[in-house]
Amino acid sequence: MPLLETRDLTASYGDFQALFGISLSLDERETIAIIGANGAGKSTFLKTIAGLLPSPPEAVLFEGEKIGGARAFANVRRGIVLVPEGRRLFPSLSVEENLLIGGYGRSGRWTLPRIYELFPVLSERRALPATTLSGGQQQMCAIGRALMADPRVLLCDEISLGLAPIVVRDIYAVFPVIKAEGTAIVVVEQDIVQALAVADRVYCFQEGRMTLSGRPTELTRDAIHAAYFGV
Amino acid sequence: MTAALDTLIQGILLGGLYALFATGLSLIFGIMRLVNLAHGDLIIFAAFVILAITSALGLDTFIAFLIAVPIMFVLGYALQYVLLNRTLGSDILPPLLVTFGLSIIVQNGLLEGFSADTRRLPIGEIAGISLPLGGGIAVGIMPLLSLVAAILVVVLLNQLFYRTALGRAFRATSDDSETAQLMGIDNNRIYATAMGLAMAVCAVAAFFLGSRATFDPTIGPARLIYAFEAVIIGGLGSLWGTLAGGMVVGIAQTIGARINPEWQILAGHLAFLVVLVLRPRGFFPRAFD
Repeated sequence: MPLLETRDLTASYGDFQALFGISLSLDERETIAIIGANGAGKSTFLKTIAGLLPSPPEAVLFEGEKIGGARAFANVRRGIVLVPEGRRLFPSLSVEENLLIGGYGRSGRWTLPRIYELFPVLSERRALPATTLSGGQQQMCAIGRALMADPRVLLCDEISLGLAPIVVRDIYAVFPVIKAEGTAIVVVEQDIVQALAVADRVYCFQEGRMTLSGRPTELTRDAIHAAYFGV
Repeated sequence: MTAALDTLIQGILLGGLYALFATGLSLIFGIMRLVNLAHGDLIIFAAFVILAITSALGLDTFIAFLIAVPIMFVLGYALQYVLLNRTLGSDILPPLLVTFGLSIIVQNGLLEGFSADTRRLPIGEIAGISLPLGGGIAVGIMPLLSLVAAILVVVLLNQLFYRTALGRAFRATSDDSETAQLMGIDNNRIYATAMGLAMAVCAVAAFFLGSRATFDPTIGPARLIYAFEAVIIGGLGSLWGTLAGGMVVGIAQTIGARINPEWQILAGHLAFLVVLVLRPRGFFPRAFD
């Protein structure tokens, strides 16, 4: 049984339908990447799984349990944790408080000392407001905050967005450590090279539909190009 | 000189009471951007709860007050969870309409249950005792205690906000309720807890209001205005600011009353207008919003 599965998942914002029947699965300890252009529905897909957008119960399964439409806080307690697009750190909380609040609903293997070991720069700035961090440090803080909830599935939404390539490399460098804990990861990326490097399997979305799936080694550049742009 | 000092001291003491009126309002506005138009009526409701416990069980007013605090917490929690959470959203109108309706319901419910008679919480001899400070100035024990209570409430709430996991959850939910849910925080329960705390503070305000002045079921809205003024003078979202705002209204009213007893209320409102002109965001606005 897959750890997480979607079956014919659809999502809409009012009259605008953003996802048209997405079916995919994620196994325990697996990392998958979802790639696609702006507006392909990648972020919508993660938000729906996390419980920020409504869906029918049978459209999302976690360990076989129908959890579609469950509220976000309840999914966190199951171990489905989202690193939201744009980081969304809490501006009135310090760096350390941002990390601590990650463990509000659920906690486990990841503790403050372990997060600081993973991202030493956060330890130096623990008492400062989260807004004083640079973009890359904020992203580290957002990932650390999500880890504090001891995720079984870590959903990462565009964590490379707006960051310098060298910073992106530093951030992705911690993924092996996270994977070593047995955490399954879903990465949404516009940076195709980064996505192919980190993932066991890749899905490509285009305008709310899945246009390609496979292992990175099996996919040709042309096939990805066609699935990405639809030409 | 003595008269001026006396006016200032009495104003500060009155300000303590107004700060107690305002703290609950400030708390729930800060956390969930809910403007509770029934806040004044809920303070009066709390005063009647204390009165009812006193007369039904024959208990001392202070003991009745201690019993009323948790009762008000539970009622506030239920009020928010069952009713007010449904009004929260991107539109600010539904909570205003619903709490306005609630204000009318509370007033009329109290009129039905307790009649329009003016009441006072019986606290015995302590009501008349005052402490001479020398130079012909004396402060009443109860006004002094209400100021101490106001400071204590603000200190305790700030400790809760900045030292506990629940406080972090309050602040995170206030910043960004959607992302707070991604931390496993059930924002409906957080809002209900905040309203419970606000109502517990209402019970404290009710105890000091009812023991120093008379009250009847219809005086809530007037108390609401002082509370609003204190919150806005202090700056939205800051509890210390609310305490300071209460002081400003209290001192202005006392000065006004000293000049001419008819000017007491007017002077408070004028001070509010002056602050609005000079510091539209209040004394201690939050750095962001």
